[in-house]
Amino acid sequence: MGTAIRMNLDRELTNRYFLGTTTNAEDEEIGVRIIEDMSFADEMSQAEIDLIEDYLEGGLTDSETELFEQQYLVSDERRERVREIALLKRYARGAQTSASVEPVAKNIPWFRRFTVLVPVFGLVIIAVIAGLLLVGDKGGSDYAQLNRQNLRDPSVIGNAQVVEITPGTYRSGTPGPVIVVGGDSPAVLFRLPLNFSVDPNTIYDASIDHDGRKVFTVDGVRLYMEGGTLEARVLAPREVLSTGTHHIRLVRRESDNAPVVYTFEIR
Amino acid sequence: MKDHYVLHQEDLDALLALLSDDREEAGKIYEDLRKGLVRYFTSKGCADSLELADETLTRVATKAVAFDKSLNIKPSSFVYGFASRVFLEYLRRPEKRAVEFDPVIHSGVSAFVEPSESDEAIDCLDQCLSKYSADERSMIVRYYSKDKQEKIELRKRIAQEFGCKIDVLHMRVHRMRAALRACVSRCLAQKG
Repeated sequence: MGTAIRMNLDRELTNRYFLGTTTNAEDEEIGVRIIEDMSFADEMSQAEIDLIEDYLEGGLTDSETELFEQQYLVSDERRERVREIALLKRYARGAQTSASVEPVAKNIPWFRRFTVLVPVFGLVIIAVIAGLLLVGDKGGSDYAQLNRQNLRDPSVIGNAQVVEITPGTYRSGTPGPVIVVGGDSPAVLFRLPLNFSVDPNTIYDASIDHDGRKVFTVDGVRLYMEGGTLEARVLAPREVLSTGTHHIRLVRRESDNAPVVYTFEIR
Repeated sequence: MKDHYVLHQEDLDALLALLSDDREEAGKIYEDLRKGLVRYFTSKGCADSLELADETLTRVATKAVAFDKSLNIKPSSFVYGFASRVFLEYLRRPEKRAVEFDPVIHSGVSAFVEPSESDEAIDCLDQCLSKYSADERSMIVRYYSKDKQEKIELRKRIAQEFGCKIDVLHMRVHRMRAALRACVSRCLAQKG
């Protein structure tokens, strides 16, 4: 029997145990200790919960995420465990948000002070920021980061409005049905089914266009399996969406294929 | 390999004799092994851990007379060999295969965010939490309120506030979660 596990529990090893990628020897060493040592079993149980939380927080690598979905979620019991933690996180997030809402004025102090103290300089600053936003990546790095996380996790998507859009293609000349997006949630989660056969490892980049301008981009959108169909998900801040028609273009990286286009309208 | 093993008295006697010369001590070791096997199968995500634990011990018992007691092999080690075989056979069960290839399961993470279902569950969780003290409610809400590094720091602080080690905090939350699970499940069933 080796010594690595006896000394202490290694996070990488426990993750591999639950993701089903340990060697037979590692599996045996862990299995024997779970049988004979209740406190070790408790530690393993906590490691399993940590793994579930990492999954829900988008903290796993792509390959770990895939293994989690293919190898870990093989029983109703485990799915129930994930559902339970997701519910608690969602509840806690909501409770914390409602308990810690601060007056709006506190959130915008610095440029307010600038505009009051040095009005012209303040306007310049605002113009520069507005210019940067118009150039692209209007959602900023926060949303780039969010789109890299697991967009199934309620704690990531918060109270974003969820909109599913059927694609059309420019190649066929059919833009697909126009979805009208209303509401006033701070963000919109677009669910974009890929209604054709595609390798789950394919990398797509997404952009949202309005009036011929890119108003939001996501490099390397994550794909999710839903009901046997792969779909891309894009979480966009409401502030980048203006009234009128928008197109989301999914472009397959390193490919000449026409983009997949999804159309929606903001009213 | 047989589908199912039947435990005969002579096999059980042979197993107990293998575990200890003292019959009472042997009985205790047997029960500990059974609990350990339940933990093992649970860690493997098996639905029926108790049944699999009993199946494992029955198989060990049927082979007990063949063991050489003088080798001094730990009971947990030789029991593990049978348990891993039982687990592999469990994975090959037809109903297990049906689960593995059920697209609903593999795409089912969406169920975690289905608004209608979650909203009902959130209401139930709220009701269930109302039965706890304000301190306990605050503890579990704060425990789950942050992600990643922020979460780690916050949980350390909560443990300090409660004057306990982080492991003890995890255990308290674990017990509370188990009670909430049962409560939310009953509440959802009542909502129908």
